[in-house]
Amino acid sequence: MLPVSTNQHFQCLSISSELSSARQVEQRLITELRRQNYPDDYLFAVRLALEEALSNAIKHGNRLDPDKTVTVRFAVEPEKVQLIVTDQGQGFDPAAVPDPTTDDHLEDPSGRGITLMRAYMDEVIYNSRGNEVRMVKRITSPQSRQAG
Amino acid sequence: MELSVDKRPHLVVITIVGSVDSADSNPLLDFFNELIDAGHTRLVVDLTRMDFIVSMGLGVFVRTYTRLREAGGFLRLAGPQPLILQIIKTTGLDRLLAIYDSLDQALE
Repeated sequence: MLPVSTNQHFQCLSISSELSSARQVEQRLITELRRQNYPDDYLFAVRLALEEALSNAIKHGNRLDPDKTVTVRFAVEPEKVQLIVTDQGQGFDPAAVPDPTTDDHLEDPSGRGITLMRAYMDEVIYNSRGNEVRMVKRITSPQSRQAG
Repeated sequence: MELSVDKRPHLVVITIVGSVDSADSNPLLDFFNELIDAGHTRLVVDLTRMDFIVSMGLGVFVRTYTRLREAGGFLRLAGPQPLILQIIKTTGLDRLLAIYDSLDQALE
């Protein structure tokens, strides 16, 4: 995992196209969330969405190509967390992914990641090419962090 | 992810402890497939100590369920924690997979 840059808000990391690489990013993000006293259920949701975005980028975007990397930018702010995951693949149309909760697709072995990202984050927005996803999760009140 | 197996007279109990992330999913699928290949088609998975799972892990349960159904067996998921059950319900898989509140209930 290579640190690419850090600015006032975003930490930026670059990882190889291996599924196990996601753990390094997760650990770094979770550590930062814990440091800022985000509650456990919030950590769970952000970790899940990050895992789904990273596995999509590594497996479907970069197609596990060892010559390609995935870039992750995240910002942990007092009221929200922002995640941006970018791969070097051709991109895809998220609207073309079928709803996995319908009877026709319930037995599909894959295709549930975007549904989970949308369910657990407040915003999930793809760029027009479909190789970058930006996600935001807000916290409703600062007091709720103290409860966690 | 830690896995353990308890082979009983009429079924096999598999216990999953910890997180099932994307990198764990293929080894987990291999683990289930090896059991099925060895003739074990009645599987109960104890989820009471599993604290995280991603969509690829859920896909492993779906693949295993499908294979066991075709083999005339079953897959039962026992005792998922509330956050895990929420993920399962979000994906609609509570309508497909047999989920029990506890391991005891799954063994009845």
